[in-house]
Amino acid sequence: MDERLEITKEDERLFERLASERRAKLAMGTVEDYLRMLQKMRELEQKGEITVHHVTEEYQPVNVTTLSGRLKKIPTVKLWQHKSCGQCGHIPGIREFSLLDNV
Amino acid sequence: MDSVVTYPGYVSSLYWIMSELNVPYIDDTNQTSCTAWNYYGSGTSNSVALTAVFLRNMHVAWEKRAYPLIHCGTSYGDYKECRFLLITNSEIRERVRAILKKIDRDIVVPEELVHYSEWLHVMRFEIAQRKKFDVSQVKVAVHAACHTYKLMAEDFTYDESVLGGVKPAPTSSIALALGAKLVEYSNWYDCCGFGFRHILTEREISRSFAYFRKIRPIVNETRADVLLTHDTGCVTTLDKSQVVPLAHGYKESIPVLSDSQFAALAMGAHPFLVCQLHWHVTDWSALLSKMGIDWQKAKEEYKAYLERVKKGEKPYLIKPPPFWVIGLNPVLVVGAGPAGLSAACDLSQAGVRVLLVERREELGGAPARWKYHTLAPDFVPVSRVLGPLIEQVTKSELVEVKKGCVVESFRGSVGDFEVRITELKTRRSETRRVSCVVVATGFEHFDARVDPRYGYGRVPDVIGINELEAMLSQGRVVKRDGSAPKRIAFVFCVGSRDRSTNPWCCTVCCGVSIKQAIELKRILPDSQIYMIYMDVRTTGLWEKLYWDSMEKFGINYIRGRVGEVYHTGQKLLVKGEDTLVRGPFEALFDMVVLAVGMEPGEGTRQAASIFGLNTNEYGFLLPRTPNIHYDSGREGVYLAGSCVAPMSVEEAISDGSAAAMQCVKLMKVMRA
Repeated sequence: MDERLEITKEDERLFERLASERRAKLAMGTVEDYLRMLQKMRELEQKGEITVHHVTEEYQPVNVTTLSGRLKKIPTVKLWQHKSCGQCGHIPGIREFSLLDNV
Repeated sequence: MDSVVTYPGYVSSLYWIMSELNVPYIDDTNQTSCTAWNYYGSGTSNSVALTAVFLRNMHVAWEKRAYPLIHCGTSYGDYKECRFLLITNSEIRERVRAILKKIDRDIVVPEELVHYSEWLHVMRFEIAQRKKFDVSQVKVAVHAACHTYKLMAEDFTYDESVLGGVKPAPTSSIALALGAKLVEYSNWYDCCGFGFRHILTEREISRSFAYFRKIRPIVNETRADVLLTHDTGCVTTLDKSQVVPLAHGYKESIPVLSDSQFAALAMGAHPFLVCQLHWHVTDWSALLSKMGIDWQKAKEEYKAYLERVKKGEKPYLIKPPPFWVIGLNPVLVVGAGPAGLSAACDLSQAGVRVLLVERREELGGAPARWKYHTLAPDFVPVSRVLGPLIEQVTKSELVEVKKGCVVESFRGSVGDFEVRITELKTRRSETRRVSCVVVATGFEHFDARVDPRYGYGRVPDVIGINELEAMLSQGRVVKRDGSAPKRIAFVFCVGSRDRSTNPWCCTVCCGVSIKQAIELKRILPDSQIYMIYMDVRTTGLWEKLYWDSMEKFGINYIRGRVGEVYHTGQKLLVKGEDTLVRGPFEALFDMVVLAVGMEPGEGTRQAASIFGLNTNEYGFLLPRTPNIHYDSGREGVYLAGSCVAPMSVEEAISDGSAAAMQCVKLMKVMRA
């Protein structure tokens, strides 16, 4: 007897999403917590306790969706490049290779 | 602002893509490492310190009105956690605020935290349009970095059209948009093996995990041509961790690139100069060949480039597009004298593209044409005032300079005027579109030949103040026979305040003449100098010149009018009327300097005709409101400098700035 579980494609996606959300709890906060945090951020801004750097039209944003389906604005111009510190690329223990000479 | 790229591969590729797409950005040296290394590596740091560092970086971006784009996946994840703690915990907020106060900053939180791979995701179709190499036969596997989508899982990009919206969209989406074949594998959720603690303390776990849990399954399940990822740690771990197993006889291997490197390669970026593939240890040659990239040729080019750099050639730097480029038609600036140069400089500094058209072959207007020496009243060298302006317009990427050209026709409406520009030498014309216009066509010195009383052009050693400036620039003032003049007369108001020629006052020639007289006394201290004047109009701060010339330099003043200058055979005889003693005078001189006035030139007359501008009774361009020079009365056309009225160089520079500001204001309205 075939014991494979037959699920629809839609259920499969839902399952994957739920699994992702469950995994998310391993990190700080749940998806719901995160959305509440964003709401609180707006409240703190209204109270004048913090300044929020908004993704205004000046940055010509494009909307994407996040895991929860909320719209996230991605700026496309006038970007401040926050570079990697570079330590990841310079982990000791590997001798230097240069394929310029090896290929 | 040149971009100095120090980190191999992904940054240079990202910057190159942005430059290709004309996306303005700031590559700021004023930033701090995220310290996430410390956090994840040793746990010795703390949330308050991490959040303060996070906010310090974000504040710098905010100060510069640029939006932070976070490259490092770990910084991105760390910052998401920091922001979460900051917002949800008032104690952390206050402690962080106290730290920030020490560096004169406060809490500025980005509305969105954005990873660079998300930027690539939203730009993917634009990038794909610039594709130069066919990647349709390339099989791509993707590894999403844990810190981008597992830390604060909610806040990363998912897209229904990419992997069904189940897995993170960035990186997979750029591969798909470029037309590559995306392949999936079973252990996609696993870490690359990097793991900060592991890499420090038990590196073997990282290396073996990376190879046996990621690389081998990916190769065996997919036979992919390349593994793409979007974090520096993931790229280096997955790339370098293949070295030891391969040395021990394992066969599975796959090149590992960042998404930005793959996209840049597809767009035609140089594999070494831009994508810096020589830093990767896995063999990418088959991948590049499959993409149709002649990597062997590129390698030779790069080696030759390195040799040139060793010999002193400036290294290749990726230049970001100007930051505040206003994406409208350029502003046409007509005339490259002080006013036009000033307008062009200010416009380019405001991020506005400029088309600068100059009739002559040199920039600088009358001061350059007549080789002005210094400016009244402070004897400042002209080169010190105009030199920086000329240098700026010459070097600015936003200013297109067209020398030896004139505007011959003008039509259309504000924001989209059409102008025909003709090169005088070749008579070749081109049509350009401009958003608005600054007319700065300047002036001409009065041609004293028009007034026969002064003998200019007929009598030797009768010169204009413009010609004397050139002599002063050379540091040698001599008569036509080469000898130094001993008695010199300056005749004021030649072609100024004279109803038979030009009835207006040129406003500057008294001061300029006195300045020149002082300079003459400095190089010819034994000379005797007489200033024959109607009135001495050294207004404002220029008055000091007048008193100094008499009290410190012994320069003489005769109030009168000159009726005739002629040559006796040896000297110049100046005949006139002394209006103080009310009687005639005659005096012999070696040189007569005519303080020639300023009048609107041919360029200004043509500008009036072409741009449909009003002129006053003297031929100067007439502003709509008498005291507001820049307002021509025609929307989108502004006036600046001595085409409107006689003025000094510094006034013309200010006039140019004022006209530039009107253009910026107008363009701001047009953008809105």
